[in-house]
Amino acid sequence: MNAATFAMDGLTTSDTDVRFARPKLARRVELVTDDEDAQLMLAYGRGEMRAFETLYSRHRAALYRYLVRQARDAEIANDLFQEVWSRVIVIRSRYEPRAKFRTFLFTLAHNCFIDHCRRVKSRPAGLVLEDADAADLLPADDASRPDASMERDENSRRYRAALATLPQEQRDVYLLHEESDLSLEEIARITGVGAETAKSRLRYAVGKLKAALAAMEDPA
Amino acid sequence: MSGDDEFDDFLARRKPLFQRPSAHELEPPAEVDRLVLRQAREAIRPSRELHEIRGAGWGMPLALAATVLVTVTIVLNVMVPRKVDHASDVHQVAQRIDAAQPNATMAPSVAPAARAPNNAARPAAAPALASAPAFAASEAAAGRGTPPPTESPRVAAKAAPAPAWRRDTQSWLAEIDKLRAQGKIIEADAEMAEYKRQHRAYAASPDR
Repeated sequence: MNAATFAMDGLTTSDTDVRFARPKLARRVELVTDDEDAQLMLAYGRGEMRAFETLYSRHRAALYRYLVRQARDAEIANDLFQEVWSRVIVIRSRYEPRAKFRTFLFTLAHNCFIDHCRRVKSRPAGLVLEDADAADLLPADDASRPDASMERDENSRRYRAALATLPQEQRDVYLLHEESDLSLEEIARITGVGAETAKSRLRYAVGKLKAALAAMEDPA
Repeated sequence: MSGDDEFDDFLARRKPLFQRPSAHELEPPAEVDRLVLRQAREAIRPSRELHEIRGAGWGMPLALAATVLVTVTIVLNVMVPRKVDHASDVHQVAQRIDAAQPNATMAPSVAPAARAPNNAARPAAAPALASAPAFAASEAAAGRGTPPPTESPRVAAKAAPAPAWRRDTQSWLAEIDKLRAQGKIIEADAEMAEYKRQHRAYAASPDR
């Protein structure tokens, strides 16, 4: 983990390579007191392990999907997943619920992925997921229903391939929308752009995905 | 339906624009879950232990300090003998006696052994030896017609004539009791100190 400073209304790192837009730190929001996840996080900050377990069970799958589809590599996704939760654990004692916990969590994930991209600097946006990588991401086959498993695998492969054709910014907004279940305003805040920009990126992403999937289903 | 309407439906999560894999397709590996939960558990363990120690943090040093203080006090009171300045007390008593008997003749120094023949455990001639040089010096000075050499108060006290009650052990102790009865505690203590100095066996006996 790099030396990064965190705040609930946005995260920043010391890197200067601005490949992606960064969140702004200036804006301050009032404490969110009606977010149950935020209360769980505060409880964990007081030392209640059960609160963390509940929090983790609620968000682990969505966060993992977001990271897997961003990184397109299971090992990298595993590392990023642990890094995100490590940051959550480290921040616990000074956590202030200035936004929904889900926003906070995906902001961490977004920035962890950006930091990772800056570290490797070798994965161009829009790289199509290779079959070998896709196979690594798939769960074990359902031996009882090989036909259903094959169909599901085929759908997954097409979806990931279509997703991989998206530019990084559009894929980022789309995955945040799909996996984090956040609003456009919150996604805009995480990605450090205006709400209209986020909406425009999402519109383009959805249009391209729809076209790509249609083309895959009907090559003719 | 226009594209804008479709997109609005998509945004409102009312209608998917395309088929996407099941949401449960990907799950973090169990090993990753275990690592994250273990890290979370270990992160709060030290703080909890610190909190428990912090609760009694002021009590433990206080208890240790109190224990050390009590122990040192007991050791000092039991093991270290109290210092009594016998010499100064004796000197004071001697001065008072001299003041009360200005014309008393200088009685020859009698050895305690001679004054208290009944005291078998008394050291033989130690006090006499202690006072003999001073007396001899005084005599010699008188014979030469020159003033006696300046003596220290302690030597002067030892050279002073011994009171009559000191010649006998019983008389001496009776005098000490008499002084105590008169409320002359300092003089009584000084006499007792001198008595003990000359009668070491009395001072060292277990019932004293």
